Amino acid sequence: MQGVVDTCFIIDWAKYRRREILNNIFKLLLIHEETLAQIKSPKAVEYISQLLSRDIMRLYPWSSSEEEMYIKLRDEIAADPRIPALERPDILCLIIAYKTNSILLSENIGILRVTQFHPVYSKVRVWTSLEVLEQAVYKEVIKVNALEDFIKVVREYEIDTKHIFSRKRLKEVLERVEKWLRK
Amino acid sequence: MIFKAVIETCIIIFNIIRSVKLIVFEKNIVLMSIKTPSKELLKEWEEEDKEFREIRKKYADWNYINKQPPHIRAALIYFIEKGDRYVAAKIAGLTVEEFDEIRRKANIPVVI
Repeated sequence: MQGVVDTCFIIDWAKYRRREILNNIFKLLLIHEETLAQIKSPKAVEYISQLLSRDIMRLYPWSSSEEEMYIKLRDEIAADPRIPALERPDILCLIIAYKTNSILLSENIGILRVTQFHPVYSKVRVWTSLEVLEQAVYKEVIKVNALEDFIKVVREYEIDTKHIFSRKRLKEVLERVEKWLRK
Repeated sequence: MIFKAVIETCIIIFNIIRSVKLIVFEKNIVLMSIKTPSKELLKEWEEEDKEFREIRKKYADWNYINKQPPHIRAALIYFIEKGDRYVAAKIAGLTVEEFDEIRRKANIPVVI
């Protein structure tokens, strides 16, 4: 499985106590050099350099045709005030995920929303950390015997990164995990 | 005579079908080029934004926020309103990571 990481996602995972989950799920993680350039803290730099040196993470070779896709999408988003504002690094990650058929690892609301309506980019699968943790259960990267075990893992993530998953999203994931546990 | 009438009728029917197909096809092209969210989706987003904003407001340490220099305070308030770490970091004149540390100290959760 191949993924593309955005800045906030990788910063959060660098702080998470079970961060090895990510490299147990994904064979390859792609990162844009502009995303990498934003990572400054020793903890996150150490985490990323570990992933790069173990060939789990790779710098994505950005091309001029992708730059054209970026400009097109940027203009589309900028022209409609109802669409949440997106910054350049967010859009770059979305384009890489589209071009490489990778899963986009992002918790950017704007990105999530573009993939909810855009005729081209709605093909991109976006996972937040919650979906990554869910997949970790299915792939048995984390051992979960009961729903409470999974809830504990989610709570740990929320504490380490100071996140709160929306009740709606959490309910949907818990229902799927519960169904999987019953099998 | 009858044969000619049948042929003419067939041509008329063919042209009608062709026109309808063209209209439908072009309409599809137009629909495909519309890249805006539906009314239902916009309503859903609006409700989600409201819910997430309330959660960020509820958890925020206002005592800490009010003690910050003006540009940091402005960035934290922007983050509470919009939940966008990237833009908030730009307002604060910090990297995303530096801003994120301040966000954690201000006890403002990322709601997703």
